[in-house]
This record gives sequence, C-alpha cells and structure tokens, in this order.
Amino acid sequence: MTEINKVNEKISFSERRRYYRLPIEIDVLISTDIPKQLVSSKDKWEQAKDISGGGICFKTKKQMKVNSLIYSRFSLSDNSKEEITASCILKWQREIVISNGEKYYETGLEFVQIEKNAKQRIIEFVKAKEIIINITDLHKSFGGKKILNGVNLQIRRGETIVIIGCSGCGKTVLLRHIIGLMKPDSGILEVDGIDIAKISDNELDNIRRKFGMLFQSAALLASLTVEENIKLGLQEHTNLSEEEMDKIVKNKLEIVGLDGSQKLKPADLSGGMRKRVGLARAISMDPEIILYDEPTTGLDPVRSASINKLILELENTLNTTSIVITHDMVSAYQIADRIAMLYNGEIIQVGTVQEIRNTDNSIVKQFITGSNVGPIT
Amino acid sequence: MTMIKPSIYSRISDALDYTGEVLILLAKTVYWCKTALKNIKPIVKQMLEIGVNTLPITSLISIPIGMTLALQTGNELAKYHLEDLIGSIVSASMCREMGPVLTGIIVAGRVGASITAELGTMQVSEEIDALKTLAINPIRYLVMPRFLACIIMLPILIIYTDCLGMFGGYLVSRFQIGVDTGTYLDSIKNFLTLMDIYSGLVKAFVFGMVISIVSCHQGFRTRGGAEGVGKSTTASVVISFLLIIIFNYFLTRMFF
Repeated sequence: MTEINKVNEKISFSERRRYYRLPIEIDVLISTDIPKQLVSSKDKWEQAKDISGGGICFKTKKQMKVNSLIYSRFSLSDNSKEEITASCILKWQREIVISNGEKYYETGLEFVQIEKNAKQRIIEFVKAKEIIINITDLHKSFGGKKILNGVNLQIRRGETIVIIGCSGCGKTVLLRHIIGLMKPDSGILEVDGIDIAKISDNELDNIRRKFGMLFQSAALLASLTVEENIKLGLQEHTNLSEEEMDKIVKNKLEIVGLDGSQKLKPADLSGGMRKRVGLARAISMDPEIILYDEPTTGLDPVRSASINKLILELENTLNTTSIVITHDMVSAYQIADRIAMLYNGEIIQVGTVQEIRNTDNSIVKQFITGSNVGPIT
Repeated sequence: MTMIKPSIYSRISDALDYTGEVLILLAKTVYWCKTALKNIKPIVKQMLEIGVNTLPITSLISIPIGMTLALQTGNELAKYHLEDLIGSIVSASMCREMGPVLTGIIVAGRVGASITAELGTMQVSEEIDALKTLAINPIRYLVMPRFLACIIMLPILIIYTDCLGMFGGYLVSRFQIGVDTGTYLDSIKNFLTLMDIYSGLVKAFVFGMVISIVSCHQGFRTRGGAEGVGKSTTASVVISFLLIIIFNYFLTRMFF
C-alpha cells in the first residue's frame, strides 16, 4: 500500500482529473475472488490469475492512454447512476480485430483500492450482462448439405431465448451443438467462456452438468422406471441418500404434475406424460441452463400453458437460462425474453417479443403470422 | 478400371475406419474399467444376463456335441481297439476348440445380438444422447458393464460347456461303445493337460472382448429406426462370428 501511495504522489493533479471519469462500460470483470464461470474466456482467466486484488477488463473502440496508476469511476449501468470508484494499475492492453475488421482495445486493470461493497455490486452487474453462451460463425453440413451456415448468437445468463424457424431448418441441430452432442465443422461455441468443440470428453461432461435438456421425444430410458429415470443424474453425480433422492424425485414430479407415477415404465405413459417426465429429469439437478426441444408439442393447451408457466418460474426462481425451440408462437410470446429466428442456416433476426412482433423483416413476419404468402415457400 | 478403383479404396478406407473405431471403443472401455468397483450392480446384472441365462442353451448344445464327438471318434478308434482313448480325444477337443468356439458363437448369437439390438434402439430413440446430456458417459454406463460381464462369464461358461461336452461323450462311450467309466475318466486324466484348459480360457477371454465390443460398437453406430436396428444386429452377429473364427485360428497357432 505504501508503494502505491508513493506512486500516487508522482501523478499530477491534472493527470488525476483526466482519468477521474473514464468513459468505459464494464465488459468483463476478472478477479481471483470471483467464481471462474464469470470470466468469459479462458485466456482472460489465465491473465487474471496474476491479479491478486481483483480487477476489471473492458473493451473500447479507441486505444486509451491510461497511466500505470489511475483513479477511476466505473459506470455500472448504462445510465451511469450506479458508479464505483477504485484505484487501479494497468495490467495489460491488447488489440483485438473482429471478423468484420473492426478494431477494439482490451484493457485489463487491477484494483488497488476499491470502495466498500463494490465487489458484490460488480458481480451482480456482470452476472446480469454476462454472455453465458457465445455462438460465432457456426457451420455444419450433413452429406454436403449446409444446415448451419454461419450462425451468430449470444445468449445472456438468466434469459429465456426462444429459437423459431421452419421445420428442418436446423434448430434441433443448433441445440445439439450447444450441449456438445454434435461437433461443428467450423466456428466458435463457447459455454461460460470455454469452447466446447475443443475440449476432451471429460471436460465436456463437466460442462454438461450445467445443462438439462428436454428432448422432443422425451428420450426416457425405456428399461428404467420414471423414478429411476429422474434419479439417473443424481445417482451419478451426487452422494445423496436414497431417501433424499426420493424426495427430489417426488418434488420434481409434483412440479410437472405427475406425482404418484414413480413406479411406472415409460411404455405405460402417454406422449405428453413422457414429455413431462423428461422435463422432471432435465431439472432434477437444478441446472443453470435448460434446453427445451419443442416442449409443448403434443400437449393439450392447458398442459402447454403449465409448461410455459414452469419455464418462467424456473427462470425467475433459479435464474435459469432457458433456450427453447418451438413452432408455437403463443408459447414463444409468453415465455421469451428474446426471440431468434433461424432461416437458411443463419440467425436472421434476434429481438425482444415486441421487436419481433413489429418486425419489418418479411421472412420473420410471414413466419410469426403463419401466412402461406411470402418469401418462405 | 477407373470405375473399380475408388470402390476398392473406399472399402479399404471403410474397413480401416471401422477397425479404428472398434479399437478406440476397446481402449476407452478398458480405461473406464477403473470404475468397475463403483458399478458392481450393473455388472452383476449383465453377468446374470450373459452368463446364467445362457446356461440352458449351452447345455442343450454342448451335450449333443460331446456325444457326436465320442460317436465319431469312438467308431473309428474301435476299429483299431483304441476306444479307451475316447475320453482323451473328447476332452482335448472340447477344451481346446469345441468348447470355446461353440460357446463364443452361442454367446455372439444370443447375447451379442441382444446387446446390439438394445443399444441400437437406445441410439435411435435418443436415449444415449439423453445419457450424454446428463453427463453420464455411455461407454462407462453401457459398454463397461457388458464388457466386464462378457470377459468374466465367457471363461466360466466355457468350463461349463467343456464339462457337459465331456459328460455327453461319456454317455456315448459308456452306453453305446461300451467303455467303462473308470477307463473314460483315466483317459481324460492321463492325456488332458493344463495347457488345453488354459488355451480354452484365453480364447474365452478374447472372444468375450470381441463379442462385447463388436456388439456395443454396432449398437452405437445404428442409424435409421427399426430397419437400422435390424441391420446392425445382423452385422454384429456376422462380424462377431467371423472374428471368433479368425482369432481362434491365431490363438490355436500361438498355443500349439
């Protein structure tokens, strides 16, 4: 601390003033005190290891002339109402050129002094803004036929994003890439900053523990009972006693309205019931991210509404990130924070429900209105 | 000629791909055997399915095979008054060749086909993908128990088959050819070597590996619904039979 004070003295008043209000928006926060999953890329984390007292990393369009020591205010929100002050040391600065040729400068600062309770506020802010899944220029072909043709999509922590698109346009393929069931031909697919196409099976399994997936066909193990299906993940990854697992199974089945069917086999259930058991299994481990492949297809309107309500509840109570594939626009409007439309292997529009409803894009407009006249044939 | 070339190359390439896939699956399965102690329950379940449930069919086949062996050799040996040696010939044939190959083929047909059909159905109904999404490694969860059950139970089954085959041989020797019990047993005791038994057990171990890995691999590569399951099951049985016969030759060469 004395060393820093010494350096502080060397900085003139004008210099201090110059750096007092930096026009920056926090992009990614890095700190050894902050959980690893908050860091968006592996190399940033590696760099962050060097930072002992916590720090901040941000991107700017112009290269900033930051001194080795600065006293700064950081805006924690777009309207700059929430601010923190901190003394920082410049740790690194590098140039990043993105695919369209635009240049950015990434700057890493280490906090030397930070105001009280600021760290928690920063964590909450970063969590809210953080991209949990980053898909960049994803390509996939089957037998020479392009299914995904440069998909770009960023999914934020805690949001519910609905992916819509025509039958056979590759929505399920995209979902299967996100959970690592398929490997892309090219492109980046990062979950919590880790490119899942480039990691080993064991590492992928660790990532998958964050996920729950509801398959279109439910994909229950036919040789196991409903109870055993829901217990599968718990038995494999926890040390819970049988009684505790029974309680969890009961609780999850109550949520989907099927308590009492523990001992039934999947063959004894209707299609809709299987889907609900599939959902109970998907949420058995309280995952951070849930993938839903057509969750309401084959269900009556009342059950569909209850599944929609459940998706919203999971988002609100557990801050779960939900990625939903559906053709059901009623469901999409009910549950989505944002809607993305996949067409010809690309995401052609992403926006809030209101933005999608008021879209000028003729393809999206035709799809959401279900018209047979338009560019989609 | 230009028309044929690509086809030959693609066939060779397919065969190499296939061999590579099977070897990788074998290596991964051996790696996951480290978790065997934590997964005793599914292993025992598979041992019951593969071993105990195969006993009736092996019994039904091995006794008549032993009887036939005794009959064929007995009639010939009787011409030279050497029928006392029936026991040694039946026991050596059973332990060295008939027991391992027959049991291998029975298990490949009964158990291998069932493994492929089960895993193939799981594959086409996305159950294996569901396991992956639950971060459960399908090789550890599905292949490893079947692999261990096969390599443990096949040697046991083969010893059982050998014994029943010798018993079948005894029935014919005693009641048809007229060799008394003591002579038959002495013949076995004097001529059957430990190497005969060991070689059979090593063959059983290898066949167990072949059957489990080939049938699991075929199950995993199943595509296209019920038709795909049927095709995979057939392929699994054919490939297992073929590999059993081929490996049997090389193992026999190695031992004798």
